[in-house]
Amino acid sequence: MPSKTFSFKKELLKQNFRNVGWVSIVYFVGLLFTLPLQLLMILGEDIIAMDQRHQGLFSHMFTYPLQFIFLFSMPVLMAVFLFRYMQVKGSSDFMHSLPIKRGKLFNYHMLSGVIFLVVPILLISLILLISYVATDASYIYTLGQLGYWTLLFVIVTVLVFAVGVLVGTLTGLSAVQAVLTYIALLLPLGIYGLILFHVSFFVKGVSNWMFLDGVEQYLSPIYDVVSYNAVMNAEEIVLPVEYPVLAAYAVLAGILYFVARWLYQRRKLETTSQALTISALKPVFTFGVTFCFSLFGGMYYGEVQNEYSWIIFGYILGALVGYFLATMLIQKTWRVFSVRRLKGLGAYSVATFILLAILPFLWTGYEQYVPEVSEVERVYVGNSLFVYEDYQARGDLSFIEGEDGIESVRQVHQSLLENTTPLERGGRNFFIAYELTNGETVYRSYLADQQEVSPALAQLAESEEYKQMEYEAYSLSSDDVAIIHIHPRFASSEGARIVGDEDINGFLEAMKQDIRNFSYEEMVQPQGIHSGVSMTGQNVEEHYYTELHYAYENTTRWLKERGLYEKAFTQASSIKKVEIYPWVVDQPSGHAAANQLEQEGLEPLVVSEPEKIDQVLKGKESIDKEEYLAVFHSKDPNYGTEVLSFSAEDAPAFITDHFGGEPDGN
Amino acid sequence: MIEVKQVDKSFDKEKILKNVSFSVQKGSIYGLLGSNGAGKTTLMRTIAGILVQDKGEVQALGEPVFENEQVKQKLVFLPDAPYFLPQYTVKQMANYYRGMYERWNEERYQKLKGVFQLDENRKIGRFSKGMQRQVAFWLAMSVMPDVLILDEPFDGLDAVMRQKIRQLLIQDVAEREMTILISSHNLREVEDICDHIGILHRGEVLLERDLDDLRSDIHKLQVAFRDEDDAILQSELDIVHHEKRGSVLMLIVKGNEQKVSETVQRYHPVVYDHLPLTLEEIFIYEMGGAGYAIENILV
Repeated sequence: MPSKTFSFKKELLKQNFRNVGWVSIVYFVGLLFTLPLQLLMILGEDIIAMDQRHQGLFSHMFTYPLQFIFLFSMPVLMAVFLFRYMQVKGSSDFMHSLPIKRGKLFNYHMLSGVIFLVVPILLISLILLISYVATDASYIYTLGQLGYWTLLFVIVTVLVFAVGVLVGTLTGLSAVQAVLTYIALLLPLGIYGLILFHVSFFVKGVSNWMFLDGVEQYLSPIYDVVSYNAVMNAEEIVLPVEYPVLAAYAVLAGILYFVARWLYQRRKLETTSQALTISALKPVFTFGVTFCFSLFGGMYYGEVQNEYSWIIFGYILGALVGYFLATMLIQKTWRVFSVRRLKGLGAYSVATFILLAILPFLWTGYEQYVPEVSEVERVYVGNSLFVYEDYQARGDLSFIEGEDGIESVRQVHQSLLENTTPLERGGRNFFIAYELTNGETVYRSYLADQQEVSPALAQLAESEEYKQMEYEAYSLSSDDVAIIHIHPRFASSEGARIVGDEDINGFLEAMKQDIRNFSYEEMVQPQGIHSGVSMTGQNVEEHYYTELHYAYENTTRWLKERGLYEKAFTQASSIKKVEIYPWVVDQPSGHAAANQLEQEGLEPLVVSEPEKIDQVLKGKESIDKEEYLAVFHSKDPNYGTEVLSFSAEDAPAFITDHFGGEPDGN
Repeated sequence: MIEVKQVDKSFDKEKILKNVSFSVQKGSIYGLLGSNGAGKTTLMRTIAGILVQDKGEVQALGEPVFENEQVKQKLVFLPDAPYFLPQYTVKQMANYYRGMYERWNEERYQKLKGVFQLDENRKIGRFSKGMQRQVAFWLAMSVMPDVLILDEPFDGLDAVMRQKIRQLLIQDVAEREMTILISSHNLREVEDICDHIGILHRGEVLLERDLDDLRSDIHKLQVAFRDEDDAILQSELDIVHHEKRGSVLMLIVKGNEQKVSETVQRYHPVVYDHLPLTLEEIFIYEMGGAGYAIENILV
């Protein structure tokens, strides 16, 4: 007889197909409905949204979220049902008493799984390829996109399957296998996030959501693929997973296969239907669950209460819950509460708390680090990471590049370090991103009371470079601008119009001088209701925008000389009435406070005399709660309301008199 | 054919097998007895190459069994609850075995179909428990194994089928020198088929005997002497047990039959009967102080 050792056991594949063929069929049918059938419907329509084309087969037309659901459920189902035999004593004994080595048995199952999962994908690809050739589908997707779709589906499917199988070798329960597979797919990302939260409670400058350096997506294939939606942009082609990452996933799947096979060959079969098949893993598992739940508890109470006492309560509660949950799972009963367990609980809790205590110290250097001017290529300052990422995606970030500017940012950074605590409550968000000369990027995020850091901020805001960056008008001349249109917030007329090179240059020059003199205080609390300035470029497609403030002395003078002042600024004559309230509600934003005051039915002081309105127009656009709030109503009902505020000292006498010097007014 | 040497096996921290050693000769039928929880099934799963021992050696056909395809080709394990692939008919299951075992004998399979008289196109899952066990035997015998390991094999079989299967097993042992290891918690169930018996108690082998030796090695005698003389109790006979009923003395004696007979004759008994011992009695006397351990398996 020929060498039997290498004989192919087709009965094994046959049996596997009988057993899990349905998963394969569901996968095929699912993809059939999301792709080829969808294509058929699109082809039947007359009008196609052309911008969809950039997304190829991962577009809304092909209901990509549904595709992803299949992508992350079918391989797990396959892993669970295909390897179900090793989680049940009868079948496990049967399969392992057959004359076939474990490694080979494992290979047969792996092979079956991969075939059953990949064949549906390839069939769908084939159908799409035939559709591409047979119909004129080339305007919906390209062959390259079809190839990419196939590649992504094959690789991610195999990867998820491999994770499922590996987890299966570690556990003896199918349900636990499924749950742990998803946990394993999300765990690295989850732990990273939880640790960041934890550290952010003790270290300044760490943002809870600072999933930066782009590592976060590589920590979880699920996040990687699903987060694709977030950056969907019709302008450019965005891939759900980049090619190098796909390659890494393929390699990872290979490594997981070898690890899983190694474990399978050593798996103790008497552990079927136990939560964990390797005894040595039990303490690791228990500790891991205790630690993660502790972090989670801390995060929850940190976010909700923002107090150290609550955070510590969260850590303790989390550790307690985590320890008992892990024990319940391992013991497979909920009745695990006994005095005997207190020792274990104590040991795991202590280990958890030690690790929790150590972690923030690892960030000490991080906290104190402010890059030297010489190290910094350029720096971005803004309010939040999200704005930063948003602008970054659009390629629209403004950086400070000059040495003085960078030094000013360092001063702000320093000041933030000195004037904040990790658990700072309220105040404003500050976000700094340094791009270093060595190619790295350093991110910091703080919440701070703006008052406390204003000296440093003033220095930055009043710097030449910042103004150039922030005020477009600063770098414009009549060469760029053809028409200037000034429109007051409440306009009785069309506003002011400036044309002609001479006038335009005159206006821009005056404005530049004013911007140069514009102080930090005026920037954050500009006086009066500002007007908008929109400029149309020499090229009609170009538009610029800036604000015109009362504090712009040169510009106001220039406008007065030309007789445009009245047209350029909001006049008392266009205001129907002003309602003045004492600012007694806890709303930091003027508009929100006005709404609330109105709703609460407070009796305002109503002013409609032009002289008084002129006085009230000298109020400030405030970013913080003040003494009095003035709500302006336009004569033209099409306009909304505007809001200015007064401190007790700055308020006109008739206001303080009316409220009897008592700001609460009641 | 089966060689187990100093095997230890623990599940978690619980020791299931402690230093177990025994061997089964080729062409022999070995009965492994023990009460519930003694470790019989664990020992058999280890011998079948399903579990791997923590310590010691497990060999069959002269080679270690674990991860040994060549040995496992010739070794079939029938668990106490036979397992079949879900939704499979007997025929499909036979195809599966044919694909897995090189020595599958179609002729034998067809012949056994006549013996068991089961519909091979019916799904096995729909058979009764006893019928499923017959299917298990049917398939196992068609593989033509050199070593057959049977865990509680006669559970759920009626007397007729029991007898039939016994015949089949004995026939294979006689014709092809097949080796069989049978576990049971009941001595009576296996005493007429086994030639060797081993008793496993709490993971340890308490005793191992050749049944023929055992039978010829222990005797039940009824003797009576004139004047009711008990002098014989002081003789060199190895008396395990004695009982007096009226003037008759009942003795359980160990040793060579001829020698025992000669010794007794020297005391000139008035009555001398050699009575048959049941296996049950043999064990009780054999085990002596450890008798408590086997009471359960003798019921």
